[in-house]
Amino acid sequence: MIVVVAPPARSRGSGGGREALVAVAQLRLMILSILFGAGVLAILVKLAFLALSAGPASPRDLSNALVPARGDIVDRNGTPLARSIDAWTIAIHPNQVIGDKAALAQKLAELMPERSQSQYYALLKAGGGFAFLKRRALPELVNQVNALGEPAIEFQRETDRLYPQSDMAAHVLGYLDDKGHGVTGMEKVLEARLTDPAQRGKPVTLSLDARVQAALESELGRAMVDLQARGAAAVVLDVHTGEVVAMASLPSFNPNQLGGPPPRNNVTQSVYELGSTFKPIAVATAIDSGTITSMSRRFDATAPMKVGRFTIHDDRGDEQFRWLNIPETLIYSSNIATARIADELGAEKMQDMFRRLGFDQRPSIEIGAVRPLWPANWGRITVMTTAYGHGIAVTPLHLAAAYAAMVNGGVWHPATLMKVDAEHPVRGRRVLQESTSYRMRQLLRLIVLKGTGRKGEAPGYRVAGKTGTAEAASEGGYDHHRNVSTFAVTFPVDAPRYVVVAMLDSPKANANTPRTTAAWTVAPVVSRLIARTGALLGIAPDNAKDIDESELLPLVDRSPEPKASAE
Amino acid sequence: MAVYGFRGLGWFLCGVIVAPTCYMVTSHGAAERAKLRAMDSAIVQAHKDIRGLETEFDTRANMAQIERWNGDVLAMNAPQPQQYLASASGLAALDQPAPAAPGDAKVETAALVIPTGQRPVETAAAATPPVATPAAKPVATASAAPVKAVAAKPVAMASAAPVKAAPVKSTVVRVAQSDTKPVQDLDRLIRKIDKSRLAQPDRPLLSAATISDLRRVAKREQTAQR
Repeated sequence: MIVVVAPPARSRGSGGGREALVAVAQLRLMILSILFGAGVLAILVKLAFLALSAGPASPRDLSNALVPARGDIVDRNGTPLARSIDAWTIAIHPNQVIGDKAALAQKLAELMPERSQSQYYALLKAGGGFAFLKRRALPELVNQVNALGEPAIEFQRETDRLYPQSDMAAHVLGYLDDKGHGVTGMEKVLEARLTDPAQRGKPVTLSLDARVQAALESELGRAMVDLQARGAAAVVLDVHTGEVVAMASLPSFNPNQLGGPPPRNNVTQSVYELGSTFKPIAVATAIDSGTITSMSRRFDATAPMKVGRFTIHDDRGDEQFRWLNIPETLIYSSNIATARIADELGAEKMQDMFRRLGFDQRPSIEIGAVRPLWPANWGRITVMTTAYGHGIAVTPLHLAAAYAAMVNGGVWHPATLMKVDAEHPVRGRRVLQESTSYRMRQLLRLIVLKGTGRKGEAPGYRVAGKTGTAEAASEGGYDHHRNVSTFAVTFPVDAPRYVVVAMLDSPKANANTPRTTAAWTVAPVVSRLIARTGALLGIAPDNAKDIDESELLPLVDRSPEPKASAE
Repeated sequence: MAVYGFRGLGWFLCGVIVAPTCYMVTSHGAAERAKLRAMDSAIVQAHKDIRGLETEFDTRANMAQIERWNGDVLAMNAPQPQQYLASASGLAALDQPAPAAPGDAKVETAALVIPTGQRPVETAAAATPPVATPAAKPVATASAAPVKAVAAKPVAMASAAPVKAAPVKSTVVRVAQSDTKPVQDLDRLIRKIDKSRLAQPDRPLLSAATISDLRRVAKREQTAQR
């Protein structure tokens, strides 16, 4: 610039040439000063813009510091089920290690015995730029490693997901992958909501109750270990809203420490032929459609029934060899009598009811679920077998929702894991008449009072339900040595609030449990669960209250008591 | 002219007294603001700490752990239906002698459902007991370290699981066993209490200096009364 502005004076002569030169120089100076002025102005404008546009920095940072990276998940009472925490991570830069690598490897192996000394040494020797030594390290461990004084070791804070209740409700909550995205369960369903910066400050409230969930898992786990069952599933459902108060599936997993793929959720991702627990549904269909008008109507159960090449017979030890009325059919859990009822009912009405209860599609719930096995053709034999729960396989959640509709006055609600409030209203659809629902409650209560469900009674809580023992399906047939034992109940029966469905897959008999039928295996589980949690769920036990059975008792009183060994 | 002379002094005063005072005011304001900010960040830090401690507490006292403690020490059970009273008349009737025949003592312990929390059904990882390392800890996280005794427990249970199948313990047996345990625990706790904090009869409660002070005050009051 200076060269441009400086006058090349010497080369010019004096006079008019010099004046012109001065004029040019002044012009150049002017342009230059304007350019400088413009530059300064641009800086000033930019500064003013920054001053005006940028708000105060610190308050926003402070408020942001409290918002977790991923929203919390809490149960219906606010107990945290999943939280985001800042965890320590220990990493190392192997190429920057100053001290003796062998000695360092030995000390690391002493502090963190997950890997051997030779593995640590190989890691250090490889000389990479960066490697994790341990993620989710405990503060004590961080202190100890820090005390080694190796400058190549780096400690970082990393956002991590913690499930304080460990493996409780793991199937419902799901887990995160390495990048922090939900893989299964509610973590996946709520991914957008949990990571939304505007909403993640507020925890998501699930419908679960941690206390009930813990009791359910503990009781189910105890039974599963005692009876060496392959698997177990149970669900507690609110009959009026469809909220899942507890859902347990065993074997479970610990989402804090996932080793390998987790087992599937038996409540929603496994289908079973649930056996005799379907009989009340068939009976309810018959009552609702007017096929059965009188409870005292009798059906022939004197001998096994031959239909085509199939023979329907009652379970050994429970045969009555006589004509049974409706309450007796359920109390003795007679396959033959139920098949006769279904035969009279017909495929049309049976299918219609199953469809209305949602047995032909995935269970309506937020988390991943599988389709039921819906029979391909509805011949006479299919109608008969589905009435007692064979030939159709549904998830335990399907059954719970159906029982809820059967006892709550006949309104079916989709099951939900979100707490039902003004934000999440619940819509139901009518599937049964109110009178049918009341009759079914009476019948179910009778089964617990007089029939196969006696071991499922919890004193004071007015339990009503049906047991079901089906032979487990295996490669192209039934395995006669394995049972799927199910117990579906509602309580308190005089004003139903909750439905519990519990299921054990392939329990084995032992000294305390001589038989593997549902009455011996799962009914005590449900009884203990209700005794433990009934009061927590807001039901005061009362031995004085019960549903009115005066209409039905005369129909069953004259017959002798059935053996408790029945289904 | 004299005014002009004092003008210089005016500027001088302005420069030496007024400007530093103004500067002090603004700097004081800035200091207060900085303190406020520091307090705000301390509050945020405290909130964070509260959250962390809450998480740690929840994790250490999770449901499975509480149930294990209940089985080991407390042996509490859910209230029985007889313990609920529906009305005032029920409450009044509580005091009345039972109409049942004398002699038939009602022992209900066998029927109690005591949550004992033996949960050997663990994850696939815990099902392989040889890994008796931190891998079997219930939760291993930065802010939530289970106490050592607790951490050892699930491991012991997992390894005991196969043996367990043969002798089936009933609730009744558990109750009988745990009868003496609370007493032992109480004894242990009492022994642990810091003896120096307890008042001991052979040591004076007040120090010598306090006693002499009291004496001096009393003497002065006595002389004043005379």
